[in-house]
Amino acid sequence: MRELLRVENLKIYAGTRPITSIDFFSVREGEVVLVTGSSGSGKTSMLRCIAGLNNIFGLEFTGSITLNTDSRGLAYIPQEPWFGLVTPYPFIEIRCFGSDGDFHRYLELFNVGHVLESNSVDLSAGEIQRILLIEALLSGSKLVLMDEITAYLDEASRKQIVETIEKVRNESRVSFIVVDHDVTLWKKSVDKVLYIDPKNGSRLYNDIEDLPIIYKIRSLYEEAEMIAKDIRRSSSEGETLIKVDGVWFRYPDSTRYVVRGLSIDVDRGDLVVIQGPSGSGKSTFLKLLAGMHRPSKGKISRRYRDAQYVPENPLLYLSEPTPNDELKGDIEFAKEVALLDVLETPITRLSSGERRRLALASAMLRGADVIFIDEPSVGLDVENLVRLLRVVAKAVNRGVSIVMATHSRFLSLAAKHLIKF
Amino acid sequence: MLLSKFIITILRSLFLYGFSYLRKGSTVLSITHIFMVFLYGLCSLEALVLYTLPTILIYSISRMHILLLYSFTISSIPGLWMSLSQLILDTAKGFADPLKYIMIYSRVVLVSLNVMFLLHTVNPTEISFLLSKIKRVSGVYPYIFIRIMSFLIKESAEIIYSHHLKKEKAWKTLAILFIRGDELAKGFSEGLIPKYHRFKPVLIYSLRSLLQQLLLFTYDLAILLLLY
Repeated sequence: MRELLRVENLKIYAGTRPITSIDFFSVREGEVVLVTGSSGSGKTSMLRCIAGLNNIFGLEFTGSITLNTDSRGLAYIPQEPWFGLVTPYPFIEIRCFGSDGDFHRYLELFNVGHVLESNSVDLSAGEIQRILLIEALLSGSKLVLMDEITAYLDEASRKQIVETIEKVRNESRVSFIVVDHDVTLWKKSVDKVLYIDPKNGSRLYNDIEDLPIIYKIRSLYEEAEMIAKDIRRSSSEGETLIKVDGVWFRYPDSTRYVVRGLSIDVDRGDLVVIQGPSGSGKSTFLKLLAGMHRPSKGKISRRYRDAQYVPENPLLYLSEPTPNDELKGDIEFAKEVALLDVLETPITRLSSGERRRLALASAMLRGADVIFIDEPSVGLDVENLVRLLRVVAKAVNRGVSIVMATHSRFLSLAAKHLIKF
Repeated sequence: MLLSKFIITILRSLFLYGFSYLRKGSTVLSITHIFMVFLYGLCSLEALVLYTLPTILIYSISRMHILLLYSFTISSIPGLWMSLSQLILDTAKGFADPLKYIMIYSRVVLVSLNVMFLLHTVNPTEISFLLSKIKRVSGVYPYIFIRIMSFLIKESAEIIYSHHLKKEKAWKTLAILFIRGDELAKGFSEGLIPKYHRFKPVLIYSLRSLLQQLLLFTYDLAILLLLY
């Protein structure tokens, strides 16, 4: 099998600040390589260097990246999927950058046929991820780089993507480099695992079971489950802060109602989780509750003083130049969400996971009665997921109500009210 | 809060209904219509009404009257601005003529509605195809322009709303809008650079839309002959 990529002695810097180092790894035709490591360990930076995007992000590297395919043979799906879709309508995107080959088969498989002529701006992150994957598969690329391709997807869609990748690599000998925190998802489908640890260097493993952190991951999952159950148990009856009475909602250009006659009371200290497949209307319902949209029918009564809304993209919530300013110098809280090392780093230089933790911590610090959060667990490794759960537990115990749209099963497990779409 | 709702209204007035059949006509024919509106419609309010009527009909038969409603809301802003400022000026001078202000308002709204109609009937594939004749990769520019515009408007609404709840100062919100603008440039470069080599221009038309535009063109010519 031909070697498509070889990375040797790679050291990546943002200016003078070292980000990560990778001693060696290679990808052969038809191989699937999983890249994992803690949030902020430099996984995305590595993919950007391979894709030749280092200059855009001010990244410099030493060592060698040898790509045995031309730029046409490389497809790249960015971590923030909305940036991958560069045309206003998915239909045009696939026609201009993909090809007509198994077009309809993939549309059906990934259940995105109905959004092809929608505005790209109206699509959910999960729908965009699936469209970008279809485009990459249809592009005839030899090597596909995927940055957290499953982050915004529900359990069923995640499994579907893993199965499709397995099938495509067997049929067409396409190779994949997959960056993901969910190592167990890829257990049966990867040939190698590159574990990146910025402090102790990176290592390549042949099996997920060989990963030195696998036991830690499992015990963290158990801990996450325990905290989640504790949160659910600790939920107590309090005054009603939001009363949703038979709410219906549809977008002005649609005849289909996204929200259909929902009623729910959100009491003080409740954790409410909105769950469902991507594109089903979770974020829309969250925005309705937060007051950003007005219901088409029904009524939402809000009886709280202050609320915070953290959008799907956490950067939109932030308003200070550094984490230290955003957290108003609260070192203890910065420690709780593992942001101590980046306190003075400009927010634009934080990783996706760091931004999410920062936005969440900042929202918790504002003393709001209710916090609305869209996809809080995206881009978080299991260690940070546990931290997130601890912070949520603390907030709920303090009487803060939290409403979140998420795919995380742990957050769903912790919910007092689970709204399924 | 109001600002956020206003931005959502702008977004909807420009980008509702996705890649609808209205966008699958010819941009050249749409430009011809707006050219006639500016050249002949501006001469009298009657002509302006006659040139605008078929566009309203098109929205109605396409079942896109909501788009018309949003366009009307947005068009009313410059209309009210101009008519009210004239009212203030005239009042300062010591006289007021209500009919004059209604005329100013109507004229601005009708012209604005026609401009919105042009924006709603721009076929991005046609512009992209024409630009790609100059240089192949130039065909990407109209797409990325529309994509970034709509994305930035949508994110602006989210930033303003979440910062409003955060009780953040306006200048900080503005700073984040600028930072985000810079990130968008980087972000879309990240999305585009690895794949722009694969770009191939496509042309997508709808026969129904083209016929509709030809009918509109014929109607515009008939009005021209009838009135001038």
